[in-house]
This record gives sequence, C-alpha cells and structure tokens, in this order.
Amino acid sequence: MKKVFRNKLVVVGFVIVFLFLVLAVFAQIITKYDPTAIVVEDALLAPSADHWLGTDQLGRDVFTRLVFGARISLSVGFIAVGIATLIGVILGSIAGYYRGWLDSAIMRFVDIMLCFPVFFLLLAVIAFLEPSIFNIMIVIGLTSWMGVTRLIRAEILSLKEREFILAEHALGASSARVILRHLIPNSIGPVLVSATLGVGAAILVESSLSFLGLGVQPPTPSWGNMLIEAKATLGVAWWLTVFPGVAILFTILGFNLLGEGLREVFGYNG
Amino acid sequence: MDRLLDIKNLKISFNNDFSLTEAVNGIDLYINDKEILGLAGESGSGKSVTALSLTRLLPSTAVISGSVIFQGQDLLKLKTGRLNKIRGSKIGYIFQEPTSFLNPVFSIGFQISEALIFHQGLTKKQAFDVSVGLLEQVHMPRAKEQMYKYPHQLSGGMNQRVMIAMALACRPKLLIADEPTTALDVTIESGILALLEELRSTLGLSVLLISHDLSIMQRLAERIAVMKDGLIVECAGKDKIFKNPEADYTKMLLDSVIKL
Ligand SMILES: Nc1ncnc2c1ncn2[C@@H]1O[C@H](COP(=O)(O)OP(=O)(O)OP(=O)(O)O)[C@@H](O)[C@H]1O
Ligand SMILES: [Mg+2]
Repeated sequence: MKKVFRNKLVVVGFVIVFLFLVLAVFAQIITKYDPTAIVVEDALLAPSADHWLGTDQLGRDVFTRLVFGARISLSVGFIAVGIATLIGVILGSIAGYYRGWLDSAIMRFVDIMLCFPVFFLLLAVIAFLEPSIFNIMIVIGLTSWMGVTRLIRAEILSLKEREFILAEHALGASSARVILRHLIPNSIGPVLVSATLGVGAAILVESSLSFLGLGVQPPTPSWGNMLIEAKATLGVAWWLTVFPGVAILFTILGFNLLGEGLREVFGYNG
Repeated sequence: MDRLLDIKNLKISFNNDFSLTEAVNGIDLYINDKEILGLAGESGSGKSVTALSLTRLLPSTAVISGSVIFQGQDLLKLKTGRLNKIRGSKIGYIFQEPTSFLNPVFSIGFQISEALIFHQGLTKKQAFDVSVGLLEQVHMPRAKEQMYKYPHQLSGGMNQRVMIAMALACRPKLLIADEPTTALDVTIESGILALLEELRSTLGLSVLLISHDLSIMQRLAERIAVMKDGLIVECAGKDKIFKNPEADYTKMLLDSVIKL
C-alpha cells in the first residue's frame, strides 16, 4: 500500500478523484441550493459570492448542479464499470481456466462485440429503450466488458501454470476454489488498472450520450445535459459551458492518472 | 507388510500438437505402510512426472495409463471430485522450490488454514489454532507471529517448513516429497531431513522421497528405486543398493556420490 502512494501519478489522480467523490457524496451539505429549483429572477447571473459558478437560464445554481451532476456521473461510471468488470472477470476466467471450446466460444463472442463501433451500438440500444440513468449504466456496462475479459483470460492463462496453483490442486482444492480464491485475487492488479481507466471512459460516454439527449434526462443534472442546455446561451454566459467542461476534463484526467499510476506500480503493460 | 500404494505398469506420455514425449515407460512400484521409499535418478528420468501422476496433477496434455491403487481405489480412474477428497487429506505433497509453491498474495496462516477449512470443515478460528500447532510441530520459531507473514518475508527453509505443515495439516497417510531440500543450503537441508524423519515416526507416515542425491536416501530411506529414462532399473533395500548394486546405472550413481 505504501508503494502505491509513493507513485506521483497515483497521488495526483487519487486527490482529484477523491475531491470529486467528496463533492458527490456530500452534495446536500456542500450547497444550500436545490439543483432543480427554478428561480426566474436569478437567471444567468455571473459567478459571484452568492452563486460561486453563476446560474443558468432558469436561475438554477451552477455549482449545485455540478455537484449533483458529479453524483450522477460518478455513479454511472462506477456501476457501469462494475458490471463490465464482473462480466469480464467471469467470462475471462472461465475461458482462461477451462480452455477448449468454451474458450473459443467466449473469445469469438468478444471479437464479434469488438467489431461493432461501441458508441453506435449504445445509441441504437438507448434509442429502443427509454433513456434513464439506470439503462445508461447497464448499457455502458454491457458494451464495455471485452477488454477486461481478454485481460483476465491472459492473466489466468499464465497464472494457472504457476507452481502455487499446482500446490493448491495438490491440497485437494476444487477448480472453483482455485479460480475464486487463488487465480482471481492474483490478477487483481491489472483489473484494477483497467477498471480505473474504465470509469473515466464510462463518464465520458455518459456525458456524450447526455449531450446528445439520449442520456440522463432533464431536469436531473448531469454534466453532459448541462452542456447541451448551455449551448443556447454560449455567447452570453461562458460559465455555463466552461465549468461542466472542466469538471468532465478533470474527472477523466484524475481517473486516467490514477489508472496509469497503478499500472506503473503493478508493473503491467497492456 | 501392507502396501499403502501400489503402482502397476504406469506409462506417461505428453501429447502436444507437434510431438509425443514418452516420459515414463511402464513402471511397477509400491510403498509399504510407514515406509520411506527413495526414488533416485538423474534429471529428466521421470521422477517428478511419476510423482505428480499419482494424483493426476499433470497438465491435460499428459496421457497416463496403468493403475495406482491407494487404499483399494485406482486413483487414475477416480472422478475428480472424489480425487480432491484424497489430495491433501490422504496424500500430501511438498516440492522443490517452497517459495514459488506458496501463493504470494496470501499470508502463511491463510494458506495453512485453507485445507483444514475445506477438508475438515473447521471454522476460521479453529483452523487458526490448529495451524499454529502445526507450525510448532514443524519447529517454526515464533509460530504465532509467522501466521501473519507472507511467503516473500520468510527464508526458503522456513517456507519449506510451511509447505510441510500445509501438506501434513489433514494428517495424510502418504507424503510425496519431490526434492524437498534441493533448493536449500546444506545446514538447512539437514534440519528438514531430521524433521521428515521425526514426523514419519510420530505420525506414522509413509514417504515417497524423490531426489537425485543418494546421500539423502542413505540417511532416510528403507528401500530405494533407481530410475533412468522412464524405467526403474533397480529397486531394493537400502543396504543392497549401497553395498551390492546390480544395475550398472546404480553403480554409476553411487560412484558419483563417492566422488563428491
Ligand atoms: N508438461 C510437460 N510436457 C512435455 N514434456 C514434459 C512435461 N513435463 C515433463 N516432461 C518431460 O518428462 C520427462 C521427465 O521429466 P521429470 O520432470 O519427471 O524429470 P525429473 O526426473 O523430475 O528430473 P529433475 O531431477 O530435473 O527434476 C522429461 O524429459 C521432460 O522433458
Ligand atoms: Mg523433478
């Protein structure tokens, strides 16, 4: 653990991510405004002591909406990646451990999924379903598990030849126990790296979808839909586009730095 | 005397996509109850492959035939689930490189407890206490403290003691020791061998002791089988092997020990 925090990238990334996490978790305490309360007479106020980051065309506090948007973006990121990682770990370890036709079937499925341009697949699926936070999380998760699957499979392939796995079989451990208790814990490093990078990517996808109106629906604030709402007043209210943009930029930067740092720490390339 | 393990016409080959390697070409071997049987032979003669094949631990490319009768069952024909109940609880293994045979991400205590939990259904707490006792039994200094250590924090000799504690946790009948001291230096080797001898008499264990080093055999084994190119060239009591060997290959091995 000490080794992890000696890495500069990890520290910087962690601080950024942690800051956004704190904002998201304590959103209600941090701000006295309601993210959806419309106050017409306060419309389009520039940043001031009262409204740190200004207000939008409906008089809602931008800082408040950003902080509540962080909640949405981060939870979409974490849950989507959680789903993708779970699928990837299960399929990848089955493929790597059992090999044979199961392996071939799973890896061909991965290849097929990778052939689709994921974003268009997302657009198509969301167009059929109703765009909601819940659907977004699931759909992003279901379309981004392929990398983890390949990663875990490769890890398990090399790990299962290791001597301590032989020793575990010699002790009479079942295949399930060997996979769950010994192979997966030993491949946690690369999974953590890819999951961290994945959260950043998922947040970006969510923002893009929301920007296109297919993601989180107004009035619920999300960084993506704040940007689209700001488009109309781009000339008069710079704060409406700059701050959500900066929030997206820094969150993704934070997760990427953290991921790259962890990759350095675990000495893994891929 | 009762036979604990009876190997009949054991053949092992490796069937890769490109080649077929014959590693063991039909051997017969038995181990009596409470006996230490030495299996000697040069590198590549098939000792390790033989040892692993007994409980089917070889990779799936291995083709094994013959029979391995243990307590009335043919281990080569047993279902994997049934075999898992024998591995670790009736037949234990220790290997050459103790450190690489331990899982780097788990503590010593976790690893010793594990088999106790899944074979004997002990709780974590019970398994912990038993494990400390086991570490004491293998003369691990400050046993309780070591439970929380990781393999890389211990020396090779200490890790080998951990391996022995793990292998003996469920009180197996047979211990298969594949070059248990080859990776250790001489003083530590002596300690491990003394421990094996002690455990054999206190636990009534049978041991299949594999080594290319005949001096270890001289110290521990009652009978010695000499292996070359996948065949047993000679198998006899220790005294006969050392004083009056029949096979030329055995004589050659003995000469090399004396020269050293
Ligand atoms: N997984 C495998 N695939 C193909 N051939 C193998 C495999 N494992 C072992 N062999 C072959 O089987 C033969 C016997 O090997 P084994 O490891 O049993 O020798 P050994 O007597 O234990 O030697 P050492 O003293 O070096 O440990 C060797 O020729 C080896 O190349
Ligand atoms: Mg060997």
